[in-house]
Amino acid sequence: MPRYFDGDLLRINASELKPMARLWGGTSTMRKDDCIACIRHGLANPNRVQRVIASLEPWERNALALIKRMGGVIELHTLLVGIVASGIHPHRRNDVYREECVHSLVRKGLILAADSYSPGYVSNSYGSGSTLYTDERLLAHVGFPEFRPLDIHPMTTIPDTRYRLPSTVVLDIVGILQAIENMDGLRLTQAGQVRTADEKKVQRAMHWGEKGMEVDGLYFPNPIGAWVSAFRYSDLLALQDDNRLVVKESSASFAQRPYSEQVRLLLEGLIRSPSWTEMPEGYFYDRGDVCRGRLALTMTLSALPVDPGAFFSMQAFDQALFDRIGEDFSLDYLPQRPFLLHSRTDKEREQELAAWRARLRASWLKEERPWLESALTTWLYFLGLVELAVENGAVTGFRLTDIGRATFHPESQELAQAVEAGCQSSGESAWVVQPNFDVIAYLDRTSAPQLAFLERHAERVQTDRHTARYRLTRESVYQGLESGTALADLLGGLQEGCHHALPQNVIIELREWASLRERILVRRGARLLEFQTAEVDRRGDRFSALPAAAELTDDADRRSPGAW
Amino acid sequence: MNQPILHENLPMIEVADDIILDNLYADPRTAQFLLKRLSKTVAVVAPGQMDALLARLLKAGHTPKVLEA
Repeated sequence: MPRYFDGDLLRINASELKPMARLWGGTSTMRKDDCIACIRHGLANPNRVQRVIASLEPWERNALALIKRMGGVIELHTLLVGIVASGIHPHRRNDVYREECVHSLVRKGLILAADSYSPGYVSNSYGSGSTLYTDERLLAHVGFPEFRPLDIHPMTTIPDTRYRLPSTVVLDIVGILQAIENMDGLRLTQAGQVRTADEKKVQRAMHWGEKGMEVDGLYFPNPIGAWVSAFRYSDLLALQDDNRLVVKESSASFAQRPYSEQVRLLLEGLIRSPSWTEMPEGYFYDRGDVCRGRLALTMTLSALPVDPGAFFSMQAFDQALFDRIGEDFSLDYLPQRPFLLHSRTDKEREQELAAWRARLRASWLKEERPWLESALTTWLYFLGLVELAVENGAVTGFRLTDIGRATFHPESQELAQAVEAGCQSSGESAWVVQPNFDVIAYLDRTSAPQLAFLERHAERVQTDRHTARYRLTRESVYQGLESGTALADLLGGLQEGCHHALPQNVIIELREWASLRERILVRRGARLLEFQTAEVDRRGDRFSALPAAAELTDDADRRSPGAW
Repeated sequence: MNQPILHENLPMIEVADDIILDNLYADPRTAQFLLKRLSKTVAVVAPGQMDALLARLLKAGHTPKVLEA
């Protein structure tokens, strides 16, 4: 929901409003009402807003871009970690806390505290003042976040690697969406959680284990918790009045989107998803910290050199990530920054800071490093964003895949186009339909819309690295027809992906299944005309006596007398 | 007095062959959801029982075509 400053400006003191008005051409002699009028007038003028955005420091523009990415609202600590993860921020003095840069954005009137009695006051403590927002008219002129490239060198020798084909990734995403669609949405409890029974249904449809699953030999804990939650926090589901989350667009329509966009939507949902952690049971983190960590990680991945073939060692990337955010982020307890007394000598201060940094690093290696490794082997791998270098069963490095580079660099049209070009249907036979109703899909030849078609009309039995085996069942065909597919379109779609003629027995059986569906017709909300006698019914000339029946007359005329 | 009555938003079931409806009435697990048989092939479904009837039909191996109106 877009937010605007106008209402909140009234609750800000004149002394705070004056510096804010300066951005819009105001002066320090202005009264409160004049300051508010000046800011409102400036925000209402798109050209003026554009000039103001252009006049900002790069890190200030970047902070706004980050808020835009998070949907216009952000927690103070998340903004802070995002700013440092981008690598573009003001120099930090030893005696100043990093929050100072966020406070300066408030003083300038670029952000305000959300849902607070004092919108001009932000606080890092929990509760009022810790949630920030920016006026939608400012965000409209802000582009994508920028990043200072990481100073990191590629690995020289690459061991064995593992990666997921884009079509395998899309198969899973579309599969989850289709499962939710088939269930007519996810029901929520009164507390707002997805009902366990509905989670189980998705889990069964996806053939996932309850506790965890293996993806190419890599352990993924609680996949149902991860992806149901990611879908929930993405922009793909909508909450209905009956407390049910339903898909906003069909899986077939979703599959038409560019690959990188499909992945990005789910990625953004996972970043915001607080109810799942990458680590197996037994690890307990603050949910907000996990989300901040994911945001910082994706931003740091965006700062990697855009070299398609370059693998980076886990060691080097971990150090680079620590160097970016280590002083400001921890999944656990962040060791307190020393208070540097002026009575100390410069050397003593440096020693204190060095000791503190050593404690930070030790804590990082204990808590954040395992989490980073898990992030790479779970959602980043599952979404096909990274190719992992594996040595003796351990992940030693990674590179961004084509989809990874396109996802982390949405500003680059070339990268997105390159991904699409590589993911187009090759024109070869995408699948084979066998007489036993099995459909073997070749994932490297099957486009996303074709996969969505199979997910909609057939039951997925097994997925391997390069193929997926589906089965046409009476139930799956019924589901497909119920979702709106005509029999001719089903047969046509199956034939389109298969260069050989469909087996005759399959065609006959599908026709039979479709005709069975016509034998029982269920109407959820029919209109029925009840006549007092059969004679009146036959005459039919009393229809016009009913005002509401006039529109029914045509329908009724078309039906045989016993049709009701 | 003899004016026809228009019923709106009425859940109904219509079958191609009257034997299908006979069988549904013969099975107490489906008959409980049927309110009134209007003809050999048409019956009114009890209010609020449409989803339960659908679930029962599917469980019994039927594949009913569901229409909103």
